[in-house]
Amino acid sequence: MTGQGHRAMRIGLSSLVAGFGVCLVPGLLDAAVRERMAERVSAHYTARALEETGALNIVSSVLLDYRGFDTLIEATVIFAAAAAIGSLLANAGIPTRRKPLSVLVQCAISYLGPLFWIFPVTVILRGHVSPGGGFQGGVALAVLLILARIVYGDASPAPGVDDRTLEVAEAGGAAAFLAVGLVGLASGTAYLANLSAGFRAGVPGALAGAGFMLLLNAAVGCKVAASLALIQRRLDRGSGESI
Amino acid sequence: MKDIAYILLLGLLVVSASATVMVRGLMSAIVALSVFSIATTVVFAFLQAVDVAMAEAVIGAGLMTALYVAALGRMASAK
Repeated sequence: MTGQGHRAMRIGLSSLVAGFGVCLVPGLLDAAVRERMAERVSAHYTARALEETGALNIVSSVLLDYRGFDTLIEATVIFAAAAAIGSLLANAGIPTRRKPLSVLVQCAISYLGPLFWIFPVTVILRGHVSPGGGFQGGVALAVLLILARIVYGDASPAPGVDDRTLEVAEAGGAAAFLAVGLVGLASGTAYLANLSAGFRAGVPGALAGAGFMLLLNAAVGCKVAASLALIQRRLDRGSGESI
Repeated sequence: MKDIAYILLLGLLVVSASATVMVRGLMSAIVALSVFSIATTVVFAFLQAVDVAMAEAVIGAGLMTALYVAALGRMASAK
């Protein structure tokens, strides 16, 4: 394409996007629309979520209980993405080698490394009590694995999370989610039913409360972390050198 | 005071989003996009959507940046 045509197309597309944005503003400013939405659903959730699901974090109660099935399909989308990238890029290229780190950096990492795991694990396990949950914590965990990969390459000395472990964690997380859902069927209610299937609500704010949410958050966190870390490894494997 | 900070944040969103499209070089675009993500995170926190803010922080600023850089590295080595 010529420079002139490219420029014209760029200006055209930019003005299209800007026009679309301007069209959205009245809708965002329309207080009536906001109020109508707030009345209908959120009032029910804020008033009844704790009693119906046992979770203090209303967002988690919506994600894992009221619409647990959607969350299952979301997790399947990530699974499909990881599988597609794996099938396209599997074993293409050579293993990555990085320059060895200096002794000072190695010592610092070996002391600080375990501390970095606290945040993602807390976010995953306390998802039904405080903000966070399986997705957020899982991605944070994946970022941790990816950073370790970028620093160490294939020659990771300490945690030893190899591709095989990640594949097992990914499949295991998905299987655990499906299995927890089956409990609902076994108890005669619905698939992915929480308190009505006999899971105990417990004390609000306790770690072992809110029915199956701790289990589901752990399963989702495992699955998401493993999937995303595997995607990065497939991309990284091909490049064969440090970035 | 709070309103002014909020409007400045929204301005930063527009600036960083435009910079992502306009800037020369893919690596600069990736950095601009991650600035956009961080600004979005603060906006979500302003609106008291802490869960969404956390998701945006780890996905937008952390994961997507890492994946884009990895993809860019792959492209560079494929040339």
